[in-house]
Amino acid sequence: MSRLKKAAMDDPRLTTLKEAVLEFTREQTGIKGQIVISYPAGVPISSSWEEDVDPILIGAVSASINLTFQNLCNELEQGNLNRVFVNSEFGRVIIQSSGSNAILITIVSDDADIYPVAFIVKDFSHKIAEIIGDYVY
Amino acid sequence: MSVQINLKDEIDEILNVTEIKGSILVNAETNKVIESTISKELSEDILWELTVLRDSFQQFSQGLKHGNLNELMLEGENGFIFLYILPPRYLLMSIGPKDINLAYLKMGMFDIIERMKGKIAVEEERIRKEEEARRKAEEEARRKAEEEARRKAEEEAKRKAEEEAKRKAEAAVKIFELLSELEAKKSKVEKYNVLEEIFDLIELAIDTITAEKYVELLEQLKETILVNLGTSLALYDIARTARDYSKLSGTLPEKEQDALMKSIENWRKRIIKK
Repeated sequence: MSRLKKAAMDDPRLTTLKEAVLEFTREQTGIKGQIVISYPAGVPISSSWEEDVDPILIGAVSASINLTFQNLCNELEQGNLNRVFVNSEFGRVIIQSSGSNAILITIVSDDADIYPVAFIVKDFSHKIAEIIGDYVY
Repeated sequence: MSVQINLKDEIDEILNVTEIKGSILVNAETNKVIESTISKELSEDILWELTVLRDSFQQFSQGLKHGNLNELMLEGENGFIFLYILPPRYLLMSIGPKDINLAYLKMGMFDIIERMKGKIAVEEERIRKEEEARRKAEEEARRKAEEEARRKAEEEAKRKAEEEAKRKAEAAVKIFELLSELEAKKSKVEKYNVLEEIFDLIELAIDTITAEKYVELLEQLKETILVNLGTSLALYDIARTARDYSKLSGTLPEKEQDALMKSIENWRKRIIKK
């Protein structure tokens, strides 16, 4: 059994989170999937992304939001980091904090207008923060 | 191999034609800043972390089947930081204001980034050619050195073989000379030393001296030892060996050579008493 599945069984908040993430992905056009990472553990705790991604890589990438990229923003006087957009050859991703205990990774469809998606995702990240509360993996 | 990429014109152009307030070009292999149009100096730690993250995000993109990573855009409270990946070893970081028009920026940057990538590709090709030329030169030098070493080794082996053949050829003559020399020596120690030399020579020339010559040589050896060093059971063995060889002709068969080698060692132990 994966760590994600085990964690989901252990805490009712994660069940609610799972339902919320699945519903959000299903209802929003332009979103292919989402992964919620527990911070600072860097462990995926909920996902609507069907394909496998290396959890260690996910941990490293998500940790960069609160560490390296935040430091970079501080050094370059850009204030607190709101989110990171990852633009690749065939797809885009939005990564942002959901409160202080989680990071939300959103995989955006190729043809979607990323900025409206980012706006909606920002609201959803607040909802995730509310669901998770003080949960720490 | 020196990398002398010059992208100053493009970085100045970014400053002049877009809303970007400043850029830093970093070599992601050395974590060194190559060009900068911002007054801020970034710590080496953060440059190192960025280059590590560049690789992590590249793997992340590929893990999601999004292909190669092109750009990371950091949205801060006070503005944007754009990280452009310029393969294979550069990272361009640009700072934009909070109200930057992202669509215009994207259009403006597209052309400049493409030109930068083009220049980098030319430079990389130059490096590749230089490295290939260096590698070929090294390979050629190594090949020549190996050839020279092989030639010298062959010459040395040939010289040694000739020297040994000469020594072997002269061994029989030398052994007879040494037998006379042994007789001339006054002390037993000196005689034993000469006898050691005789045994060494017999061993050396074991495959070249003929059976006929051995008969003559062993007979004389037995006589010389008897007269000069006294009798020994080994003398009987020497005489018997000479007798056996009188039935042979030409160089000794391998089996006989092995047996004679063993006999010589035995004679040494039994006759020479230093």
